[in-house]
This record gives sequence, structure tokens and C-alpha cells, in this order.
Amino acid sequence: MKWLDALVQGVLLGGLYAQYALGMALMFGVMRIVNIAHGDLVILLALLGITLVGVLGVSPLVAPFLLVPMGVIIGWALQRGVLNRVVKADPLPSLVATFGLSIALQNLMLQIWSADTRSLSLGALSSMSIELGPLYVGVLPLGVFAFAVALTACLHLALRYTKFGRALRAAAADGEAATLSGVDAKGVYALATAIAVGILGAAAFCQATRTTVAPADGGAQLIYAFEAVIIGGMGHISGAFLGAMIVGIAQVVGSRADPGWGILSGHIVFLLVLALRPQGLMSRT
Amino acid sequence: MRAILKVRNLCAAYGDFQALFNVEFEIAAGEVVALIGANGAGKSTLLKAVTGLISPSAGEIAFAGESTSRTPAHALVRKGLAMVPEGRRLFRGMTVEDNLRVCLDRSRTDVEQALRWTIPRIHELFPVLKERRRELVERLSGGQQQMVAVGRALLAQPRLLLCDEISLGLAPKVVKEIYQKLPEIRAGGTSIVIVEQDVSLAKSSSDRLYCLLEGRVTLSGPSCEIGLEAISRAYFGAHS
Amino acid sequence: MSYSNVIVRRQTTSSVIALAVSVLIVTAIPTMPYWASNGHIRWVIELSCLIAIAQMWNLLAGYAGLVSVGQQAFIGVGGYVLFVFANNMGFNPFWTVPLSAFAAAAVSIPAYILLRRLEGPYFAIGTWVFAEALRLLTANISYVNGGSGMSLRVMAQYTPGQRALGLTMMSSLLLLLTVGGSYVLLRSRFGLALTANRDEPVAAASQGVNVKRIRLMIWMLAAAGTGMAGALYYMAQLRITPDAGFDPYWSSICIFSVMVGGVGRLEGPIIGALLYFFATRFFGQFGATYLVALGLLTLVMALFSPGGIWSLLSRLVNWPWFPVTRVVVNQSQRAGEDQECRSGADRKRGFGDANGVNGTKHVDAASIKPGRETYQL
Repeated sequence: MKWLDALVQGVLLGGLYAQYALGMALMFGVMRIVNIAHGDLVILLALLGITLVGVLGVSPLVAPFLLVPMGVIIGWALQRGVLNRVVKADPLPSLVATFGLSIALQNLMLQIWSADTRSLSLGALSSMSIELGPLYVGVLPLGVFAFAVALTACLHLALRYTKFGRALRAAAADGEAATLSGVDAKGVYALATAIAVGILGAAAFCQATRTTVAPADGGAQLIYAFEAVIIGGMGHISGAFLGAMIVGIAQVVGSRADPGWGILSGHIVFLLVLALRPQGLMSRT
Repeated sequence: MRAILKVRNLCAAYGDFQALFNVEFEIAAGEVVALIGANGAGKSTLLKAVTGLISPSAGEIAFAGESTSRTPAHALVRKGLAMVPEGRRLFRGMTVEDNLRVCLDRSRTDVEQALRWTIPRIHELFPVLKERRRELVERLSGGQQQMVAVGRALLAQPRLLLCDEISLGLAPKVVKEIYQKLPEIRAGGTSIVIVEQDVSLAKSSSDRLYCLLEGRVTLSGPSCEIGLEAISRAYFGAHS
Repeated sequence: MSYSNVIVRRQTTSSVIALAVSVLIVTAIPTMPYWASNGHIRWVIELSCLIAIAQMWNLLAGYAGLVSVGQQAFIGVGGYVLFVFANNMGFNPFWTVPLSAFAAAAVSIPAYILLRRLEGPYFAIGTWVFAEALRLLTANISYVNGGSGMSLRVMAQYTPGQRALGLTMMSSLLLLLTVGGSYVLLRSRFGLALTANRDEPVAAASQGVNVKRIRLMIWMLAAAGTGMAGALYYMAQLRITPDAGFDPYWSSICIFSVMVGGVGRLEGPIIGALLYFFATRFFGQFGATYLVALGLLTLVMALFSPGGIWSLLSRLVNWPWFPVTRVVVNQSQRAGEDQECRSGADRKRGFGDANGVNGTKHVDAASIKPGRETYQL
């Protein structure tokens, strides 16, 4: 029973990681860019959310409706102001630029919010749980998971069947040919990053309500997202979701075995996948 | 006749390497023009400058009477300038239908309904694409891929269609099949530029012809009036 | 043009001076215990480590096209190998410093085998995961005292004078191996292959340059240099913990030093490391604000001056310290050409404009996008 519970908890934790991973998969798929500040943006949005809820005195449930638009704007500005200048075959400029951004953001947050750990309480909802057969499952983690599933499905369908999705896939496959087909590649990139960071707005709410946030946590979130994306198969939306589940399960099962081995188990599973199936689980090649 | 494209005194360079020198190039509405020249003569550079993929270092390009110097490449497509790029450059991982629709999604709107290129019309032009419309483009043969590339460009509803080496690497039979469609495309009022390695094919399927050598126009005139010997001199340079 | 007109020049006045100064510095450092204060000796040791790790990161990013944000893996391994061998096994701690370089190189092999399939940016994050895995693993091993770390108690058997002498000698050796080694390496045949691979990977491969082997070699050498620096640094600190030894901040230092100093040139990391070292001395007191500025500076340099301070300087005066390029001088049209060759080499450093700079042929090749796979979203 202990292990079944660990499995379920792992899947639910994966629901949180999936939200980080989707944006990363999207951005890499389209532009071959990894935004090293990806995790720091989650933390920034979460801290902004916590502060806003306090200052405005509104219900915490309002937070996602503030954070998602903020994420969209931040993402769009990030792409237009920074990343569009470094979308190149050479990975160095984009990595270094976002690395610098990550360090600046982390320390800025440290100054504004200090190193304290914070979270967003949803009152009674935070501790509510339902009985699923022999297990008790928290309502909040379940909600986070359900949202991740819905998000993955929406993103998948949007990429497949909308005008924007086609333009995005075209720009991902061949930027120049897409331009020659009338696609404004830089505009598509800006929208892709806006979506990716917008999702982080929702993820920030989920993270702040489910667990805690502190300014230095960004690096860890980036790594979990990255592991999910690679385990699933680079650039696959549904692969990123699957990968997130696996990272979540590995971490929870690992920490049940030995508290020091939680996050390490996630890394080990990641390295094992690299060794045994480097193209990722969902990749066809 | 009204010119659809006017290129005046065009120079283009990659860093220190100058690829085009004072090129003059003009296409009238409804005309088919062939652009020939050896590898590295500057044909692709000229097309890239015209489509806005590279910005020229000097000179003027006017498309449909408007200077294109401030128009980004993707916006030029929506004004009716489409290209079939060298090497086809299809969107891998996408179906034939999706490849076509990318262009259709954002095509020029000011076209008469009867003259509009639609996916059914592309299927009429290249029936095999209808059969294979749900397949991934990388599964198609080279010739079929080229048809997708041509179809994709046509769905932009071009006033001017640039075809960069569409016969490259294809069987003669397939080349013939594609070239046979040019009159039908032209009938809708579309001007066509063909960049072609096969000089006699270029000559026979065009109204006029330009020859580039080392970044300069060495010959231009009506295709039927220019002899193969003159072409050979312009193609390889005077010393050969 | 007959061959007798061509001179291949590999030294300039500035480089001869730089070489002499370098030799002087490397020989002077071990004499420091006789004339310098303990504080200054510490400075020199730390600075040597910073220059070494920056130079190693420069080899990776500037020449092998491998961007790593996991160099702390090798710092930590180097440090821990020293502590384990000297403390737990009773080896002479000073001789263990070079040994830790080999250990770091050995650890780098499985890392490379696992990560090599990851494309550019993913490789970088992969190195970080590898370092994190090592950090957590170390924190779970009771033999090295887990998360609370180790102290280098064996150093108590040496007098302060002996320690200072040993540390300064190791600093000299470290600089000699990392900076001098890079210089020799880049001027060798291997260096030519490396530069060829950096500037034109497809062409180099077709000329018989074994790209994969070159990358692995550089990866191992960089790990070795970084590991040795880690051992030296923590020998001076006398204490190591997993959180300090495997701190991602080590990679930040590398990236900052190389990108601000100038990537793909041997002079760049030295300038960058000096800048970082003194900036931290002067502005470190501002804590987070200082790091915000450091981060923003890195961002701005990546966007607007990818060649770093060194390339800005080179535009003003062309005084290379460690020239590794062979400059072909045609005697009949000399002065100008010299300049051309050099600026050409600078421009070709990866960040060239999107259109490519090497003529039409190059552009056509670039549009094929070698090695690019399609991912299905």
C-alpha cells in the first residue's frame, strides 16, 4: 500500500512538473532554445502572486487570473527583447543570455522577498482530501494534475488543428521556408514564448499552493522540467507530460525508500533513460 | 506591359564577399523569365534579395510598383510574391495537407474567387497529392515533394512565382510533368521566374532569359532570339 | 604568387612580451611565501583557480562547441578526491592535487558518453543534472561524511610556511598546465583541427578531422584542469561540503569570466577572471545587488558584444598576448592583409550574422542545416 500511495503521489507531483515541462518542450521544439531562467520565472510569478493576493486582499483563487496574463506579457517581452536576438544555430548566445538573466532574476528576488520560504494558502481546500479506494488523495494535488492533463490536451490539439499550430510547426521544421510561406517566424516565436511563460503563470499558482517557493528554487524547477522533456523525447508535448509523470514518480518513490534519495532518484532515472533510450520514450526514431 | 518586379542596380554581399554587382532585372506581368548561370553565379542570392531573405547592400527592388526595402520577407508573401525554394524545404513531420495549408492560412485576400488557388485546385493540378494528402511529406518521392512545394507556393496566390531549381535531382519524366503545368499557372496572370541548370529547358519554357556570371548580368533578351552559342559565352565567360 | 613570397607569422612583439611576463609570473608565484603577505598569497591562489576554470570553460565553449553549466561536477570531484586520498588514505596532499586532475578526467568520460547525444542547449542542462546527481550522491555517502562535508586535517602536520610554498607551487603548476597547456594545444596540429572544427564543422569533418574524438579530448582535458583547480581551491580552504564543491555558482563564474572577457580567445578568460576577481573584492559587499549587475552584464554581453571585452579591445589595438592563429603575410601586399586575416578569424567566431559570411557557397551549405533533426510537436 505504501508503494501504491507513492505511485499515486508521484503521478500527482508529475502534474506540477508537466506544467513546467510543456513550455520548455514548446520553446525548444520551435526555436532550439532552452531558457535557463525558466524555473526562475515560475518562482518570480509565484512570489508576485503571493504578494499581489496579500496587497489586493483578494481570494487566492484570483491569483491564476492575474498570473497567467502576467506570464504571457513577460514571455512576449522576453522573446521580443532578448531571445529573438539569439535564435541561432549556435547554442552559446541564447544559453549565456538566459543564464545571465537567471542569475539576475534570482538575486533580484532575493533582495525583494528575502530568502524566506513562502506559500499561498487556500484555507480548507489546502488540506481537503478524498478517499479513492484504499488511498487518500489531496483535492488540491488532484486539481493540479487534472489541470496539467487538460493543458497538455489543449496544447496538443491547438498545435495539430489551428492556424497558429500549423504556423508554429512549420517554423519549427524550417524557419526560412516558413517565412517564405508567409509565416512571421519571429512573431510565432514571441507567441510560443508567451504561451510557455503564460503556462508558468498557472504553474506558479499550483506550486505556491501545493508546496512552497523561495527565490533560490528556480534551478531545481528548471532541472525537473528538463528531465521530463528529455525522458519523454525532445520537443514532444505529450512526451513532456509522460516524462513529468516519470520524474514525479521517481522522486516520490525514491524519497519513500530513503529521504536523501528523492531528487537523486529523479536524476538517476534521467541518466538511465539517456543511457538506454537517449531519444526519449515517445520519440519514433 | 506593366512590370511586376523591377530590380535596379542591385548589389549584395556576404561579409566581405560581394555576390551581386549592379544587377538589373525586370519581369512584366504574366511573363515567364528564365534565370540561368553556373553554380555560384549569384542566382540564389538574387532570389533571396528579391524575397527579402537578405537585404541588399545597394540598389532598389520594387514589387508590384512598391519598394520592398522596408517590407519583411513574410509580408512580401502576403503581397503575392511566392518562392519554391531550392531543395524544396518542406515542413518535415507535417502532412501534405498541412504543408499546403500553412501557406493558404495567410495568403493574399484580394484575389478574384475564380482565380484563387485552393487545395482542390492543387489536387487537380497534381492529382497524386490528393491521394497522399494525409501522409507525412517525408514519405513522398522527390517529384511528389516538389509538387507539394509548388502547390504550397501557389496557395499564397502569387502574382510572381519564383522557382529555384525545381528540376534538381528529379527524373526527366517528373521534370516534364511539372514544367507542363507552368502554362496553366501563368494563365491565371502569375508571372514566373525559373532558375534552371538545364539551359535548353530554360530557353524553351521561357519568354525571356537572363544569364548571370560572377554576380553580373552577362546576357538578357527574348529566349527565342538568343542562340545557344551566345548563352554559352555569357554562361562561362568570354575567355572560354 | 610563389611560395617564397609567403611568410607564416606566429609571433608578434606583443606576444613576445606577454610570453616573457607569463614566464615571470609563473616563476615568481612560488617565491611569494618569502616576500608576500598571507592575504596576497590567498588572492593569488584563488585567482589562479579562477583563471584555470575560466580557461577550461573557454576551451569547451570557444573551441569544442560544448557549452557546460555543470563544471562544478569536476570542481567537486577534484576537491573530494584530494580530501579522500589525503585525509582518509594518507597520501601526500600536495601530490594528490595533480592526481585529482586525472580523477576528474576519468569521471568526465561516463558523463560525456551519457550526454553526447543531447543537442546544444540540452547538453548544457544535462551537465548540470550530472553535477547535481554527483552532489546528492556525495551528500549520501557516509565515507565522505555526507552532507556535512570534510576538513583537511592532514594539513596540520605542515608548517604554515610549507603549506604556503606547496600551495603557491601548485598554483604555478595549475596556471602552467591550463593557460600554457591551452596555448601549446591550440598552436599544435590538434589546435588547427580544433579551430577548423569550430569554424567549419562540416568542412573539417570532410577533411578528415575527427570531430567526435576532438570533442571528447577537449571535454576530458577541461575536466582535468577544472578538477585540479577544485583540488587546489579546497586545499587552501581546508574544508569542503557537497553544497560548496558542487555549487552551480562555479559555472556562473566560468560563464561570466569567459563571456565578458571574450570567448574563443586565450586572452579573454584571463581578463574576465581578473575582472570577476577584483569586482568581487570591491563590490562583493553589495551581495545580491552585485550579482544582479553581474547577471545583467552577462546578458548584455551575450546580446550586444558576443566577443567580449577582448574583441572590443582588439578593435582598438591589435596586440595579441597568445596568438594561436598562423597569419599568412604576402610580402607584396603586406600591411593591410595582415589585418584582414585577423579580423576574418574574429568574425568567424560562431556568432557571425545569420546570413553567413563566407560567400555564397557557405550560405547554401548553411541553409541545409547539417545534423538538424525535425522534432514533431
